[in-house]
Amino acid sequence: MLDWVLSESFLMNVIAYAIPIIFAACASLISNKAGISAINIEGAMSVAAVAGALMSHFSGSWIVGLAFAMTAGVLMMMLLALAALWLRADSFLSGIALNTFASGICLLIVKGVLNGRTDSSTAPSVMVPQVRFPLLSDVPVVGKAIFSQNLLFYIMLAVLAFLVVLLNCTKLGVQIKTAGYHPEASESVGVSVKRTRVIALVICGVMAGLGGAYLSMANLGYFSAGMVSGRGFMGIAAEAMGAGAPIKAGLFALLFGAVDYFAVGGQTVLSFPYELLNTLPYLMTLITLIIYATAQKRKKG
Amino acid sequence: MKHRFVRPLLNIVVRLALAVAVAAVVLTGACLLLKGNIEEVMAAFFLGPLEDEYAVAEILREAVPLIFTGIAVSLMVRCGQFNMFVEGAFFGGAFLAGVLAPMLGEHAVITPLLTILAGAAAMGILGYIPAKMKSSLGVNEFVSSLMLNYIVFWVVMYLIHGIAADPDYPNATPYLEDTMRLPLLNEDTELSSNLVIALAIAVCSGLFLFKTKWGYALRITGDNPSFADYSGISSDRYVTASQVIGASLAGMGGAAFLLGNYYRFQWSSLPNYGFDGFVITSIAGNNPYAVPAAALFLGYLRVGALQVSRLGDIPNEVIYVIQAIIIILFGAHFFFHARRKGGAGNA
Repeated sequence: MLDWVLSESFLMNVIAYAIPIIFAACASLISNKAGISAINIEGAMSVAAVAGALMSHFSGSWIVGLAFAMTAGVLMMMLLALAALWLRADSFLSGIALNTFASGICLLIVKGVLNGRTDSSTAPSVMVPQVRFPLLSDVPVVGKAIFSQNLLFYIMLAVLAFLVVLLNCTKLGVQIKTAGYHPEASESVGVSVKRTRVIALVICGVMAGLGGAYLSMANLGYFSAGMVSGRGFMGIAAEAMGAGAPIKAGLFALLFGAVDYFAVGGQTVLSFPYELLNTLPYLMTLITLIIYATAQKRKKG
Repeated sequence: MKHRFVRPLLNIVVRLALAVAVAAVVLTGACLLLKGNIEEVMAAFFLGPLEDEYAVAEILREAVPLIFTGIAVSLMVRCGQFNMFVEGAFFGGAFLAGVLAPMLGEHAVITPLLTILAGAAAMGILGYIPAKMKSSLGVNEFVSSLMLNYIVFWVVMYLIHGIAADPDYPNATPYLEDTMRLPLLNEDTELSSNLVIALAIAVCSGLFLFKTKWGYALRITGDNPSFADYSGISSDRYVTASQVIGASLAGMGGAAFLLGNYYRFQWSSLPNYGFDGFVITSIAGNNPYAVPAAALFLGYLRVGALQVSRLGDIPNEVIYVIQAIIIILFGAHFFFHARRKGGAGNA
């Protein structure tokens, strides 16, 4: 088992499993910073996965697919904005509703376009390309995992860096944080909270879209119903534990990815019932949440 | 008196009219997208569920699980808790019933009743986990309860593949004899008496919420936890209690549903009734008395969607789109009683 955990392929797979969760965590982070919870990241990823898979297939270009995936993610978040900011419905409940909406609309679209199928394997996506840095990728163990990856891995790193810079060094970042921490203060200096939240949700949608695109255009070559399977929620949990720090949230998401892959990959390596292995990511989330909250509570006294 | 009856009634009439309008618009859209015959689809959707007694019985059957989860969710939401464990508890309760009833043996009425109570108790205990995490540690109940759902699901899958297996049915619990199940109300349409239990639970929950001091404290906690604390109500206690009660009602519902409508437990995925509970409670305005009506209404829409899918052009999933829009519109027009403060992702 130790051989397996320390192998190069283990690291590669952990990263592959973590990428969508990290995108989801980033999406959750930016919306929470602006003071609006986007529970529908899960659903937005699913719709983006459909849009990316189908549009890349029919256009023959992964760039078009990726663009449509991001647009789909943004559209789903704009529905949340419409419900929560304009119709003033509870953002949480709207999020639950939009997840239901997403699972319905994804199947409607796939069934409509592909004559009743629930996956798009007959219309394979055009994959997002791999990027390989010469020389560096030959470094043992970590070389391949860091320097020979899917393009979306590097986009993910860029997204993390973007978040850190956005939140710490820009005016918009300050506005977003103010909209979350103290909306009245924001309004009092003439910055519309609604406008700031919409901008945050657009960014959130782009990130959720990238996460969805990774699932159907890089990890797997097609969309299949239920392929997001809780990764959006795991991202939300990772963000909760990262407590608003992008890098910390990213690391927790990486940990979730690791446990997630351990549960899947372990089924062939370990002689342990796979059903119980499958509980691991969720069990770990629960336990980490408890440990984290206990530590927080003690700090506060 | 006027305020107590006339306004809620008017309220629900407006809501239902709105929901019907949403359904009609979505179906028209689906017809245009998927090239269905609008006239045929509308007739199948709105009239199909009422065409004969079997279709009507199907509406009632669909409504039973929705009543249970709708009430469970409405009690939690009244207390300001957005707990998703209703989903896992319903599933767990059904599984437990499938295992326990054959173990208890063939004792008419006693076996099903004991099984249902056991399902309620077991899921109440599990529901204590996210509830206590919220009230003592401030851990967001949405994330923790969702994780618990997945855990319950996979543990049940493990048990059903390993321990609880019937040799002839590898992935199912043993066969339920008629005496282990709840009696049927009508032999012909196979309508089960779990409907009666569901209605009784609805009435009891309504009485609890509106007529007891605990129900009052629960509602105060949901409206304003600080006010509850200032007035000597321990809000933490009600935050915990509402979630435990919700989970145990969902567990009870799962057990009653299985013992009424199935001969063995062989579900291989979460049935989604917990999430449906949120639809029901938003239609019912978080009022347990209105939950059965809301459940019947959603049952009607679902049977309608099934009838439409039989025509061949529009898949059954169209119902998800209709449900989602209904929740958002109802949330927008009539404010939810309990409103959550702050972001859900911030644990």
